[in-house]
Amino acid sequence: MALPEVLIVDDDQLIRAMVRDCLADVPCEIREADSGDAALAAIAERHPAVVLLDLVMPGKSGLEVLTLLKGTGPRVLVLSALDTEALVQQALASGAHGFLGKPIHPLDVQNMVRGALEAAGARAS
Amino acid sequence: MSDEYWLADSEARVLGPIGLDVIATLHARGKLQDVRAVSRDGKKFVPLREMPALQAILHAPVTQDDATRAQGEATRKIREWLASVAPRPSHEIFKVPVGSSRDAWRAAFFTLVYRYVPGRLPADTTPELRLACEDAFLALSERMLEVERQFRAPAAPALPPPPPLPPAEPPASARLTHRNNAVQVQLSLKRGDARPFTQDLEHNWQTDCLLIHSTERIVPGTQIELIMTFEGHVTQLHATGRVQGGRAGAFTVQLLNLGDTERTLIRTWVARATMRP
Repeated sequence: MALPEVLIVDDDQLIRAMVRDCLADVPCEIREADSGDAALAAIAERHPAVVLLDLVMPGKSGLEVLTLLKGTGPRVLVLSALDTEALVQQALASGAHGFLGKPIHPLDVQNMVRGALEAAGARAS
Repeated sequence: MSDEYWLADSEARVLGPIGLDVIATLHARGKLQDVRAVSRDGKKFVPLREMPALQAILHAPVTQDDATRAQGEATRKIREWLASVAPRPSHEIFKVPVGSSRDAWRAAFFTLVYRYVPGRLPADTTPELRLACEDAFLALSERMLEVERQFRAPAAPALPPPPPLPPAEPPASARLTHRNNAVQVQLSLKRGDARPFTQDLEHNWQTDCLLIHSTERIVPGTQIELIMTFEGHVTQLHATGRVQGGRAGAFTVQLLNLGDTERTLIRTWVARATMRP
């Protein structure tokens, strides 16, 4: 059976590599995108189960990607240093399923992605 | 949409659309330090200087008041969110399909509750924001408990909430254990009971003191090792102190070396217990 896909969307290659490391023990296939537009293209093509989404990116911002995906796409976990409550609430209202502040903690990333994969699996079945 | 903006930094990374209130709170937390261009539609960007109103917000010096105001705004947002989710079914709050597995519910719960866990809040969190986060934590936890109950006994009717603590209930009695020259005091407080911190006019939470109810007489000056648990909280209070004085059925303790975290925990508990509904 094919592993579920997780898409890491961040313009910072270092962050993408760190998140990839965090997910080394999670049974999933990891893909990366470095912008909002690249993320939308990858989501349309690959239909990942979970997307880890940065909010500040070149081209389309994370909030715009969220709005375009709302209710139709994968489970989206926002990953951002801009973790003020006002922005968290806006992200959740825009369709995000969770919000992780940067700097990231590997266990938090793992737990949230495992949970999101579980929930995505429940929806698919 | 007319009050929404897109902000771009020196590397053309974009954040938006966000409102002025979100921009103000981000700025107050020092998180918008490199805004170079702004847009009203996400397409056409102009230099920040061409939008003086926005420039004024983003160039205003960040003060302690701003940081406190940002926390006030965060408190308001959490309260609004709590009010908005109160009437909604749990599957909408946790964003899981009806009929999901227990693990899916638990995972969704963790995802949502993560940022409200009391132990994760920074030490400089205002008591109001701490209260709001704890309320969110408790509200989500109670929803999750309901879900867990349904998995355990699907046909069983939901239990009614526990009755509020009657005011006439005697104060919690401490468990005392003598150890060398010190006495370990273990005390469990029920939700809504802050009497050890409020009952004595002089020795109370404001002076880092508390009143311990016990039938045992303890000599003033005795060293105390306090372990206090708070119903509904995962955090325990561990503190040392000295007995100040005794009275019939109780003695007062001066807590020593309390840190900001411990003081905030006590202050929050007292605020919650004395808060009017």
